Amino acid sequence: MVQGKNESVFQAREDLSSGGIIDKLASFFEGRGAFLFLVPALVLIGIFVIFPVVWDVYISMTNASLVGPSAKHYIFIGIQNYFRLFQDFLFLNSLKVSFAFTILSALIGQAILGLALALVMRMEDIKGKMLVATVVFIAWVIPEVVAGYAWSAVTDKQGLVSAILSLFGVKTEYSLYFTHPFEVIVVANIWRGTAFSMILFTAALEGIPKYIYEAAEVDGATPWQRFRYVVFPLISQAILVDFILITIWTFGVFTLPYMILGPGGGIGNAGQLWTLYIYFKAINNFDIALAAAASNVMFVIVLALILAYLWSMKYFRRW
Amino acid sequence: MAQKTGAYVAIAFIIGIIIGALGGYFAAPGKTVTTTAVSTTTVTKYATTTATTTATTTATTTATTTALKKVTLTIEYGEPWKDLIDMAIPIFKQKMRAKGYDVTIQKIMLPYGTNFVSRLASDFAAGTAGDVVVYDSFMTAAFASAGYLLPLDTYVQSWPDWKEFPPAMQKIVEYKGHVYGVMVDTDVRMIWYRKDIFKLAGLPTNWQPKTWKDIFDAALKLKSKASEIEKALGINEFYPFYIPAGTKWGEGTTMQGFYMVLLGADKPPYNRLYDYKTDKWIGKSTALYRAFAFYIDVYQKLKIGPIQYNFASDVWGTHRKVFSEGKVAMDVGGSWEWAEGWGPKGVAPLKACKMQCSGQSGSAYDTCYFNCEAKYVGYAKMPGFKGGAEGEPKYVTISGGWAIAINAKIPAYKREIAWEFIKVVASRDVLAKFAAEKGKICPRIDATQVPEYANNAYLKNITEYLKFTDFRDALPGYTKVSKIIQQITEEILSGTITDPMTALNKYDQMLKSAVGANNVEELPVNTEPIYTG
Amino acid sequence: MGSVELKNVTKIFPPKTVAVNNVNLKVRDGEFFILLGPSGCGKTTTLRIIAGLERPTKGRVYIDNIDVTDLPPRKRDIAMVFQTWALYPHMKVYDNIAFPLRLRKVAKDEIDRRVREVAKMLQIETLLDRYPRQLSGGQQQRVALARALVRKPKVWLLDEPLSNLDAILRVQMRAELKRLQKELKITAIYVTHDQVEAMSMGDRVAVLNAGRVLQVGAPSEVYNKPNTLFVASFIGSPPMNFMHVTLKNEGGNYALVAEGVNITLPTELGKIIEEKASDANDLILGVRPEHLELSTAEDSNIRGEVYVIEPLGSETILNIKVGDNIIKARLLKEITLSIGSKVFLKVSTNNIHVFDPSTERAIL
Repeated sequence: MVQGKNESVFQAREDLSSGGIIDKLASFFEGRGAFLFLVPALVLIGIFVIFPVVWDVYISMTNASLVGPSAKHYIFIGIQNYFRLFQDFLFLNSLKVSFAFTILSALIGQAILGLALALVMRMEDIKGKMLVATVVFIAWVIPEVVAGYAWSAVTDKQGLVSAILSLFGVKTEYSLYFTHPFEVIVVANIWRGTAFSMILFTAALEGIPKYIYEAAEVDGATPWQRFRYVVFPLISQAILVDFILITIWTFGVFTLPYMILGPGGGIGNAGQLWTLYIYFKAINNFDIALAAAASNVMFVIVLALILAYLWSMKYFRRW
Repeated sequence: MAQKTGAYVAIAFIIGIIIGALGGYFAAPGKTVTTTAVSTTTVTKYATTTATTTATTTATTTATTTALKKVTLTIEYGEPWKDLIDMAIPIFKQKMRAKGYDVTIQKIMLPYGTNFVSRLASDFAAGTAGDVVVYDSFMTAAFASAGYLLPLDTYVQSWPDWKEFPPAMQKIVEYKGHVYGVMVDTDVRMIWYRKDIFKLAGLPTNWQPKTWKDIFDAALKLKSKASEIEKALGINEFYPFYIPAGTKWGEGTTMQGFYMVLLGADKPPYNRLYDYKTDKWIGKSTALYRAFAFYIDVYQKLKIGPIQYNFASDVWGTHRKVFSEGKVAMDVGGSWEWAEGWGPKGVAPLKACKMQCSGQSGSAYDTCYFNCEAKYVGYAKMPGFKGGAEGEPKYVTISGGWAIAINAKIPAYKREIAWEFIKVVASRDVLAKFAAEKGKICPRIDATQVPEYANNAYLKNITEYLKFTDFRDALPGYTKVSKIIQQITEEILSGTITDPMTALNKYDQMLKSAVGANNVEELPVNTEPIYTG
Repeated sequence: MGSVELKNVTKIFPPKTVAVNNVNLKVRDGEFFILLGPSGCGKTTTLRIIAGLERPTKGRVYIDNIDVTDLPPRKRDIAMVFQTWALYPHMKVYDNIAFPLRLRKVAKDEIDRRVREVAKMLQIETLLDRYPRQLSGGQQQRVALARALVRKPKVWLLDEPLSNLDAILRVQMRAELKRLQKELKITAIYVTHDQVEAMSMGDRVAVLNAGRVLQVGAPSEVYNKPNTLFVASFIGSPPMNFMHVTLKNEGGNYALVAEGVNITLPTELGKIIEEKASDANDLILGVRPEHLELSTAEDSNIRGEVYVIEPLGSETILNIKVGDNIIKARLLKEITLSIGSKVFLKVSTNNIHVFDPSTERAIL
């Protein structure tokens, strides 16, 4: 059979070599049929993904602005914007805020809470766990804009949190998002993103056969030891995947903090993530070149983080 | 054979794309239209470049001369100008019909809560702005230099109404000797105060401060009576004095707040951000020092201002609401607030007046309400630092306002039509009626000939302000400078900056990095405290 | 070393599946005890109750006369080998075996000594540095055994540990397990559905069906004196032959009679049956295939015709049609019979079993 097939291909080639332009083209595309199907997708990706990225890099090396003379005629100024960027205390502040935000809200908040919830979901005899799961999922599926407004309302001076605090005799003089902008967006983002980690960890835990837990139980492991020595190593890969994904997402979070704090990121720019900084620079300050530079720096940092994760993944799993 | 079929498919696909692209290019309506459209009288360099980018135009040129030419005009404006645009449209349509055009108006109305300036800037940059736009006049230089606005020189020169706009109103929309817009409304700024609260604190209800000290004294007196005031009004918080600050207010911080202080802080020409003699931005001056000191006194030292209102998600709505509720006794704000803020149809009407006039409806209600409003809300001119004792202006105010202009990217054949629309919007009756309805100052002198406007006591009173009004240094780069002021005042709010010298140094340093050190000058600074009472 | 006792243990899985029904068992110290039964009979659940992986709905569990019913597995000092072996995939063989010791904070060199000792005993010393996925089934099974043995538990619980092995390996491992258990003198409780395994390994066997313990005894006892129809049918290969018979009493001469069957009974036996049976006209006669032998027509007490012949080399299984029943006879001799020919069989009255069909209990 194999022999026959090769022959027919060979035959086809010979036919083509004697043909016209169609045949020549056909010979070019021969065996590249798969590529043809990719063309529409590649064209779209080229227009909507690759071109903007290249354009962004170019713009970041000009003095382009949304308004003013340099909106009309911008010139190439090399990497000056990048120097400006790292001299801008707001940018350095936004870097700090973004890292703290990602570590606290995603890596610590979402991942740990998600893991805890996933473990609880697997326990038997826990009443109301479906209710908890539903609440967690609702937080995940409602639109981000709505979630943002909801959090503004909840943390308002006359909002739910203040109402609860007043029950304990704590009088709140200001809105919570005003006095603690960073803390509010951290909590809001934990609230919003936990469902994803929970799903991922639930799936990972489902992948561990029940008898492995039981073997550990019989071998004498306490619940904590069972988690530490058996469950944790077995889901470590899932944890790493979770970390990669939520790191990317959290660095890119915009809508929720924007809805709660606005582009300035609250008092003292305490909650100005670099996404907000980029928006602030581009739309409020009309400085799109600087914003482009900032987004490129963000891209490089996130890329570096992901590569670090992937590298560690490569050396992680040995069994 | 399968490969051959694949090749045919690929070729057909590629040919299809090429045909589609070419077809789309030639079929674009703007293309055919520009070749036949009447050439306009404006600067010719635009005519050649704007032809192919018209997604919104559906104009066609049918050979028959009797049929009306169909044209679509897009108008981009903020919700505050809704009534103005709606008033103009039917008049304009009728006028155009007489000229042989059937004009369809496509409205792009930006609702309240939108940052109109940012939105318009990004729409211009993205090429999606309307053919005709209503824009904040302080952006004239920024938009014009970006090439977003069509110069209107030839149009206004042949427009008899243009002389009805006083020189000040013509200057605002000028950049490098060219006119780019026509003012549709203007404003002045003042200190709004609550007569009922002043009465509670034992202050005169007919109040006019002569110096900054008068303001601080009044504020501290109000502060000392805070709990009585809270009890009397049934509110849970009270602040004597509110002046916009921080980044959330955007340009509002600079114009509503900072300029009102700066212009009265020293004698001209040192009371500005820009030195027109040396053509440099002023990095350090006594006026700047005093202005920052004013903010620090209000928000940090005397604590008479509400810090958190400057961070509300809707600062405009909040400032109107808190004044209407009596949580703020003095509010540095614009003349439009009389109607737009706490007027009968405003964002935050006064509860007392609403109740008092609840039996009536229509214009009777409005009349009743405005009479009532005058009993609760007073307005005073912002005084100079020492009321003119040091050569500074006795009273200060500043005008801005919004202008209507034409997008530079408008297809040439639509320019004339767009200008016709502007003429209707900026006509005496339309502008005056709109101004009267909104309680705003009309930028046209002849507005007083329109009874609706002339009969408004409030408007008559504040027209006086136009005699001493001033303008922003709205040069290219002004927006950057304005942002620095917003940033510094925000740091004053958050307590990062607590003394005027730090604020001044930081301003100077940020200014230099934003506009270049050789474009900045430093004047001597008198660091005497501004208030010791 | 330890003894295990179950007292009135019942396990009901919600809503109302009765997995274990009032089980009483006593496993002696050092004994190799088999829980035997078909799948779903509750033997694994019983084992898991002993392990502490399931809590009994009713009843108590004692290990070494201490009530452990409410203790978690780790406090019971037991070790368990799972059917799937349940090795930790992320640990090397060495770490798998060392795991229970590490949890008990045994000194490092002591761990090393004991791991190597048990690895040597199970001949897996060369595998210590591998991950479980790199091992064959038999090797994994040895690792699982090693892990269970390494800390010398009081009781060793084995849940069908051989069922995932191929036939040859299984036979080898049976002997080895038995040897290990005797060598280490560990109490072992072994769950299986394979009666051959049970017979060859157990000191005592408990036969379970539908959540109940039917019979407990030494393999020979269970084999020779099955107390119920179920035990009789479950143990032995090929299984016991059953035929409906009637007890005939002709003036003190008793006989079990059916078509093709006429077994004369000694009087005392006949009397016992007559006494115990609820209906002497309806009895079930049980005869193990290995207890049937060919005989002459006169000596025979069962006769029929050859139905199928299964020659197995050393022995032959003869299927004989007796009346409406097909019975099997296991014959060690070579036979020359052909299908359809008449055949005469003889069974000693010592080797017959009589059951009461209404109670399914053994009368004889």
